[in-house]
Amino acid sequence: MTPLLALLLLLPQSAAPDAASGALLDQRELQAACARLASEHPREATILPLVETPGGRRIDIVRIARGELQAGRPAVLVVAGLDGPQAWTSGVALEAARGLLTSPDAEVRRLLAQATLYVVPRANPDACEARFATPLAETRASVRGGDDDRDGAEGEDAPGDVDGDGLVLQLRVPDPDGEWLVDPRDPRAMRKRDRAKGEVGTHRLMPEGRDSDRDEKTGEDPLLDVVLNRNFPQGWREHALESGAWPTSMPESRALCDFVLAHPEIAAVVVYGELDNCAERPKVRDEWPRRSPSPSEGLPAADADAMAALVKRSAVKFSGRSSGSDAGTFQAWVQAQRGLWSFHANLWSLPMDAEAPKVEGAPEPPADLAEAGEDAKRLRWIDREKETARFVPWRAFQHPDLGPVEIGGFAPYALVEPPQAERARLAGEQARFLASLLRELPRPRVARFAAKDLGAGLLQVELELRNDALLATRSEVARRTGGVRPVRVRLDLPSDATRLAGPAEAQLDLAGLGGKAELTWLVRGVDAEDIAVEIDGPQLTASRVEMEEAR
Amino acid sequence: MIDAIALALMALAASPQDAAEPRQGFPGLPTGFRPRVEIAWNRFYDDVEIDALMARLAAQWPKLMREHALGASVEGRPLRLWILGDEASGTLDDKPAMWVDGNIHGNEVQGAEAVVYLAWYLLENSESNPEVAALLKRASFHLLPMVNPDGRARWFDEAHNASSSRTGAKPTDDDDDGRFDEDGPNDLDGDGHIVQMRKHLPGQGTHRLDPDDPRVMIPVPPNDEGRRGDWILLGSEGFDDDGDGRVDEDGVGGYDMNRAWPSMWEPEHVQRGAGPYPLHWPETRAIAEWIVAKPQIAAVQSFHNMGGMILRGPGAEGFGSYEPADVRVYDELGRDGELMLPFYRYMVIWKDLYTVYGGFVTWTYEGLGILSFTNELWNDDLMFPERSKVAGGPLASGDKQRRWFDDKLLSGAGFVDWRAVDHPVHGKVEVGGWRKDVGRVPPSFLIEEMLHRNALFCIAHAAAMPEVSIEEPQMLDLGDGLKALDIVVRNKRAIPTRTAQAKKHKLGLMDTISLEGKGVEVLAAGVRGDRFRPDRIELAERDPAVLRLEQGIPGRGEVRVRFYLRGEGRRAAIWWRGEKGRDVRREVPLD
Ligand SMILES: [Zn+2]
Repeated sequence: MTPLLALLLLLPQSAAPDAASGALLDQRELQAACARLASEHPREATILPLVETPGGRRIDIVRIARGELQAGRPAVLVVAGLDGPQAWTSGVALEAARGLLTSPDAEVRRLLAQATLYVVPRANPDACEARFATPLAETRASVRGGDDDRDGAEGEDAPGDVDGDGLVLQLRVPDPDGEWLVDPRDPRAMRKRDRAKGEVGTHRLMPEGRDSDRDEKTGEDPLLDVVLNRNFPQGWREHALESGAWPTSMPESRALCDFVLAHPEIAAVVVYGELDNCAERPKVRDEWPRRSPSPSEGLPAADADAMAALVKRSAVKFSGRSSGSDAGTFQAWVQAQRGLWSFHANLWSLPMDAEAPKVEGAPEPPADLAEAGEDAKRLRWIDREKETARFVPWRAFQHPDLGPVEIGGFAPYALVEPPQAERARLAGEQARFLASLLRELPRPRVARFAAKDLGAGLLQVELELRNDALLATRSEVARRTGGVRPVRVRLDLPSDATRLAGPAEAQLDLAGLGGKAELTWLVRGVDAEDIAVEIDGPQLTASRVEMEEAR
Repeated sequence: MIDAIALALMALAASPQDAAEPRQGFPGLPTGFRPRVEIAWNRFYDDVEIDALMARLAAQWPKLMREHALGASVEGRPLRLWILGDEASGTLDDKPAMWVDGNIHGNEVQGAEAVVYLAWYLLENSESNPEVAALLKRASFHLLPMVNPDGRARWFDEAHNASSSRTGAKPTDDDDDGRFDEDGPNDLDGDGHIVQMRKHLPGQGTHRLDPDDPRVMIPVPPNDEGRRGDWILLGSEGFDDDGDGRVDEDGVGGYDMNRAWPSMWEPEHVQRGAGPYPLHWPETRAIAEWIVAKPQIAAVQSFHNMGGMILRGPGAEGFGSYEPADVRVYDELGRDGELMLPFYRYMVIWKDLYTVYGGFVTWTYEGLGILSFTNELWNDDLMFPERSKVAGGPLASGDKQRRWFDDKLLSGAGFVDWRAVDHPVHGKVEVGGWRKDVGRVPPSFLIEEMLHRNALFCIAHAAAMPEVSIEEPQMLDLGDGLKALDIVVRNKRAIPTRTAQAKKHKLGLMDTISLEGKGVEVLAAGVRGDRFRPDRIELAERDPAVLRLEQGIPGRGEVRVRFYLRGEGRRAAIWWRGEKGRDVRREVPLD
C-alpha cells in the first residue's frame, strides 16, 4: 500500500460526509453540513456569515437558540478550526451543537430557550483547507506573502512533496553535526541529542522540500506565513513573521474580535484547538503586574477555582495539554483582556502512554538503555492500534539539491487527529460539557424586594439580588479589565415620589454559588406597591420588577 | 555711453533682487517676494477649511502635489492625504519619503495648520529656493493635516474647553452602563464655551474672590483664623444628563487614538483610551495600512499640543533603550531642533513626560524602524520676552501671567466673564473661565512663528533622509583574466539607509549592491572592513553578484565592497538599491 493510499483511509469514506459520523469536512462539506443543520432546525439554528477570508472562503457562525432573542440573553461562543491542523474539530463542534438541538432532555431544551450558542465551526478555513489538499502537508499558517528569508522573493522555497508520494514528510540527512539521532529503542524514531549527556547527533531533520535557492535549507520560505491564532492582541509577538503586521491585521482575527465586542451577551467562550485549560486547574497568580499578564501565567484564584469546579461538575474528562504558548491567541485575548469565562480544550493528541509491546522470547533491553524518546512512545501506540498509516517508514531518496537523503516520518496530521470513532465520542462529550456550561451561566435574580414603613410616609426599601449559578456575573479578570460591564440596578419611582437616600443607579457584581448584593433606599411620597427596580446587564435580559410581584 | 546705460538697465532688469515686481515665493524674508497662494497664518481653520487650503495649493502646483483618499473617519469625514514631490524628476515611490501628520487629538488643532504651512512653504519656494527645489526632487512628503477630523470639527463647532474633544467620535460606553455617550458636558448658558461653575455661599465657601481681580478664585488658607470663603467651585460646566448620579461621565467618544498603535500596545485597563485592540478605529487603521505599504517612508513627524517638546520614544520604560546608533541621529536632529524652536526641549516620552503605551511615533520607530518625532506645539513661555517670576510680582504665578497677558495683549478677550445661570441640581450658579482657544494654542499673533519654526524643523529632518551615491570605481587587473572591482557606496545624509532598529529586527528588505553586465561573471564579492587590507572582507555566502546589506549604508558614511570578476564583457553597471533611498546606478568600463 502506498503511503498516500494508506492515509486516504483516514479520510472519510462516504460520498456525502456528515458531521454525525465524526467525518472530516472540507470547506464545501462543512458549509453543506451547517446548511443541513439549519434546515433541519429552522427555528433554532441560523447561519450568520462572519467574514470572507483572504483565500475567498466564508466563515459562518451557526446561532443556536430556541425562542425569542431578546437583548441580554446570555450566550456561549464555541470556536473550532482555529488552528490549521485542527480542521477535524469543526465536525466535533457542529456535532456537539446538533447533539444539544436533538436532545430529548427537558433541561437541555430549557437551557436552549434561555441562552444562545454561537458556533464558529471553522474560524480558519484557509489554513484548514490544507488538510484536504494534495500533496498533503500540515500547516498552521494561512496568509500568503511572507519573505521569510528576506531575499525579496516570496515562497520560493516552500515545503513540498519531493518524491511524489503525495505527502510532505521529513527529510533525514546524515550529518555528524546534526541535532538528531536514531532512538536506540526504535530505529524508526528520531530523538534530539542530549547535550548534557554528551550525546552526538547523527542526522539533520528538515521539512520535505527543495532547496531551490541553494541556501542549504529546505522549506524555509513557505508560501503561507501568518498564523491566524498568533494575530490577536494579548501577548502578541512583534516582529515575528507568523504574528502578522499587527494584532488583528487579518480579516479573520478582526472579525472574530469584532463579533465578541458586538455581542456583550457572550459570557463564556469554548475553543477547541491547541491550548488546554480544562484538563488541569488553571495556574493561579496572586500579583497583578502593571502590564497585562497572559492567562497561561496565571489567573486570579476565584476564576481558576470556578473554572475547575465547572469542568468537574460537567463530568467530562479532559486530558489534553497545551501545545505551544498562548501568546497572540484568540483564547488569551478573550480571557486576559475581555475577562470572559474561557474554556480551551485540546481534545486529542496521539497518546504516549501505550505499553511497550512484549515480544515472546525477546531479550530484555539493557538496563542502561535510555528511556524511549517521545516519538518511540508514539510509535508504540501506532503499533498497538494498528494505525500504520500514521507513520511512513524512512526510505532512501536521491534529493536533487541535497544528494542522498531519507524521506519518512509521521504523516501529516498523524499526531493531532484522532481516529474517526474517537471523534464521534468526543462530540458527544462536548455536547454534555456545553450543556453544563449553559447551566452554570450567571443568572442573577431578585431574592428579596421589600419596603419597611418607618412612619410619616417614610419607606426603607431593600433589595437583595442573588446568583445561584456557579459562575459569577463577572470574572475577577473582567472586574480588573472592565471587559464585561457590571449588573446595573436602578430604582424606579413615580415622578411625584422622592428618593431621600440611596443610589440613583448602582453597578454591582454577584459572585457565583449564591453570591448576594444588597441595596437600600429611603423614599417617601409613594406606596410600596408602586416601587419598582430596573435591572440589566450585558448577559442579563433587562427586567423591571415591581414590589407588588416580588412579594 | 548709451550702450553702457542700456547694459546697466538690462542688468537691473535681470537681477531679481532689485526688480520692481516681487518674486514668487516666500522664503521667510519680508521684502521682494509675494506668495502665489495667500493664506492668513494668524488664525485656525476648521476641518473643511483645512482641506480647502490644501486643495488650493494642489490646484496651484498640480505637478508637485496630489491628493490620495486614505479613508474616512468614524463620522464619514474624508482623510485626505497629500503627497508632495517632484515627479518629473523620477517616480516618488523610489525616493525617500517623510510622513507628517497633525491633530490626532481633536483639540490639538494647530498641528493641522503646521502641516498646511509645511506644504505651503515647500511649494512657494519650490522654484525660487534651490535647497527646497533640490529636496522636492530627491524626496517626497506624505502629509495628513488631520488624523482626527471628527474631533477637530466638534472642537470648532461645539461647546468645548481647551482639553476636550481629544477623542474620536465612535460612540463608547465610558461608564459601563450599557449606554453610549449619554452624559457629556453641558453648555449651561449656550455661549459655546465649557467653562467653570461657581456658587455663592456667603461664609460657607472654600474660596473667595481675589481683591485685585474678581474673575479669580482664591482658595481660603487652612488657618485663616477660622474664617471661611464665600464661594465654592463646582467643576466644569455640566449636569447629570442620564440621572445616574454622575456628572459628564460619558461624553462623545472617550478614547485616545494615540494609544492605539501596535508596538508596546496595552489594553484599556493598563493604558486608558487604548480601545479593545490596536488600530481599532478606522482613522488609525487606514494610516497603518498606508505606512506599512510604503517602505520608502524614512522619517516621521507628528504634531500635537502643547508644552514645547520634541519627543521621541520609548513610550514606556519596559521597552529598554533605543539602539545607540539610532539615538545618535535622534540626538543630532533633536538638539538642532531645540535651537530652531526656542523654549522647546528634546525629550524621551516615558522618561521626561509620562508613560505612553501604543503611541504612534513609538510604533513607527519600534515597529517599522523609522526615525520619528512628536512635537508638542506651543510653549507659553513665548508669551513674555522675559519671565518675571519675582515672588509677589504681577507675573509670579502661571494664572497671573495668563490674566496679565490676556488683559494687556488681548484686551481681556480670552476670559469668559462670570455670569449667573440656573443649574438643575445646584440652583443659581455662575459660569466663567478661559475660552477653549486659550492655554493650549497660541494667540493669533504668535501662530505664524510657531508654524514656521516647526515646518523648518520638519524640513531639516527630511533633508537628513538618506542620499546615496556610488563613487568612481577602482579596477585592479589581477592577471589571468581576473579583475577586482572596488566600489564605495556613500550616504551623505545623517539618517542611515537602514536604522539599527530595522537591522536588529530584520525589518523590510536589505539594501543590495549588485554588479550587472553582459558577459561578466562575478566569482566572489564581499563587504570590505578595511580600506587598505583587501583580505579583510566579509564574503557573500551565495550569489556574489548581489550583495545584501542588512546594515545598509550608515548615516554620513560609506560601505566599501569588492567584486572579483572575469569575462569578456566590456561594461557593467553597479547598482545600489534600497527601500529608503533613490536607487543609484553607475556605469563602469571593464577594459
Ligand atoms: Zn496630543
